[in-house]
Amino acid sequence: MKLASFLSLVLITGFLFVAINKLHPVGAPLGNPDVLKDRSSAATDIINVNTMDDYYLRNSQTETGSNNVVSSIVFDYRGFDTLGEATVLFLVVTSISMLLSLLYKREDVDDYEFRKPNEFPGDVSRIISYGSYLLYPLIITFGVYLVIHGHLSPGGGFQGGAVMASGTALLLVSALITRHVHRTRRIFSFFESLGLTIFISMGFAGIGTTFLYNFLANGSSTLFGRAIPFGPNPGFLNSGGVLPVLSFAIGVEVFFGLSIILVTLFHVARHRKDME
Amino acid sequence: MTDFFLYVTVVLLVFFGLSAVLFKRNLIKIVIALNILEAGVNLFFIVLAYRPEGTAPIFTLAPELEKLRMVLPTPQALILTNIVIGFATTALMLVFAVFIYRNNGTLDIRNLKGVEDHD
Repeated sequence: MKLASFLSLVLITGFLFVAINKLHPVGAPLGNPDVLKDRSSAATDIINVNTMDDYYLRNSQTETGSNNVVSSIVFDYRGFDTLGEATVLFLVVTSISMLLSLLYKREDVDDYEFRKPNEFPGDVSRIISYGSYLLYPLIITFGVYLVIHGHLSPGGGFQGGAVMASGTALLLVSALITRHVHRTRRIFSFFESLGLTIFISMGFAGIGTTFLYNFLANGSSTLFGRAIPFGPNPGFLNSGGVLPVLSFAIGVEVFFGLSIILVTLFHVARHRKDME
Repeated sequence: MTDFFLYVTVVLLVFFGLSAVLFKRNLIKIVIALNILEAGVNLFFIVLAYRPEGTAPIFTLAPELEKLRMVLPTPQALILTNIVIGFATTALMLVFAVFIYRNNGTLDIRNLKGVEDHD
């Protein structure tokens, strides 16, 4: 058995080493590196574009109105992929919450009290309690900034939601968890479902053309309809069509989903500690 | 030649992750090893997408178009999704580890109930 493991390990690693020779050298992927310089004047440029990535780089700004090409791929060109991923996250949160709720009784964890920083318990130092009070609003603000500016700067729903969920983790490790956080797990799951529902609704809203069609972008009279010409610009919040809406939906879903995971895991750990 | 070592790093990360998955006995270590393997895959995608002097594919306050080069955006979008899915699956695996520990009293995969010793 051990021999089989060793042989398969050596074989797989050897095949990977051999496969390196067939890859393109680092820094020379397929496509034209100067695709942004060599361009035709057409609105949708398919003349100087040989690969999918070059098409995205050249045309995503005029097609989706988003400055961030990665965001336009995640939420527009490959929006269906993102829907599947959001569903996977939803499924994982559901199963974790269901499994772990078998491990503790609701009434055992309901008596956790809210702790103010000056009533710090013995196992948490004053620096951690005060520091988390100072840091938590900043973390949430940064996460909201990442979500809102998802179509303009690095960021988006996933990163912003994860950053905000790290604020929840901070509250948990600094023992500032409130009884309310546990009581509001139902509210957490409501908002998580709401995020996914907004995403799917926006997908169906564009079904006149295709599912998840970016019907708000480029010159429509709605809030996010500003038409963006190709090229660098300072960034306009009212561009991007459905991208900011989808980014917001995913941000809500990721934040509340990861928060549910963290809170549930915390309650199991806390429950076990109390049992000992 | 130095470019070659980026791919070698990818293979080494996959190698370390895979060897730990195959030879470690502790379930927590196996979860960590899967995360290392995932890091190797992520690095592979980023290396594939690299272009010399390429900026991030974002047009906000970018240099003028004549000088502008961007790395490929699609692998970055895939990595973006992979990181969140990696987090979710890691959390799920750890929850299963919790249950396995409660049912067996150990995290050693040789001593789980119903597992025969094949060594």
